[in-house]
Amino acid sequence: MATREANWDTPLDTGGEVFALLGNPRKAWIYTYIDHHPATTIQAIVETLDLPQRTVYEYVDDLEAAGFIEQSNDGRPAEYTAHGIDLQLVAGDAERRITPELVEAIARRIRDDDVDTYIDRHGLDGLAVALDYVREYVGGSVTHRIMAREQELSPLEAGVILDALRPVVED
Amino acid sequence: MERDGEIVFIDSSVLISCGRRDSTRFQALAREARQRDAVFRISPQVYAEVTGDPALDAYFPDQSPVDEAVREGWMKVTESPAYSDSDVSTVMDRARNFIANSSDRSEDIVEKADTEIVGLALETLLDGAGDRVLVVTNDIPLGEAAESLLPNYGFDDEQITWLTGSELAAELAEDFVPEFD
Repeated sequence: MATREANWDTPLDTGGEVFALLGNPRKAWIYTYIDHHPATTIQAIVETLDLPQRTVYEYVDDLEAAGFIEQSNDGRPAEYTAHGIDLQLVAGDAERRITPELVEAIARRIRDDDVDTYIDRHGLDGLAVALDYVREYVGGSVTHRIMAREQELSPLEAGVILDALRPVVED
Repeated sequence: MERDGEIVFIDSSVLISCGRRDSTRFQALAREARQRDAVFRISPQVYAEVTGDPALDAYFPDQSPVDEAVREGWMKVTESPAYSDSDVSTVMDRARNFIANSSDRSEDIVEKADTEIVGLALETLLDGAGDRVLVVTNDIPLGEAAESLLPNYGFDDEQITWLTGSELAAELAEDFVPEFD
């Protein structure tokens, strides 16, 4: 049974400033929370996500500077709203889309051991490929065994990641 | 005895989703079996997928809960379907074709494991081992194949039901990471 190691040289696993969001699951988590709850405050993030206040301030600043979120009111406390992300990335034959769904998938590794393990084994690039299958799976055009065969995974591993990422697509 | 001669087949997509033995979803599956007074059945292929995989340790460090379920008696591993029975082998071929069409793939990509449950379900009805069959899978093409193909062998629609895991037991849909919803 094929078990591929993560290839950290594939498009999504390489560096670049925009990738700070993808490489930092807590930052991805904050972005995703704001994306799901427009006009949210730092205090709401701190309380809901149970992160240190200093970290949240720092990451919100980073996200705002990078243009992923913006302050959506004039008053205090500041309220933030997320911008959509849709980047197409091409490296050789591989094409990957960076979307809020991918950011959310990465964010979930904080609370979902299966997502965390999958990323350890297959990298962010593998996660992005899996997310494409999740869309097909939820849409009813693929089984976990077909994903397993096409991606040279075991059915167990395909089933694990399809199940773990299903809510990202179904939201 | 199983209620009203109802036989329940569980696919690996559902067992994987239920996860570890101590998860609420796996407990919910066990509870559902008790409430139905049923022994859930899994095919040899499904059993192999959820117990014999080297990746198992990475995702299920406590070992597969399926062996424990079998020991506890609410799940059992069936024989393989009787491929020598022409109805059974034909329905499996049709299921393969059905899944390939739904998935817009060539039939080569659909192997026996995808269609085994459909073969077992038909065999159960033909043998009279059960009056009704429940196929529980989260794989939509497989569930649709079971529901659309089996009535062609002279059975009522009511005798064949496809359910997803969360339709079998609503609790199986719960305990996903909730913070974003």
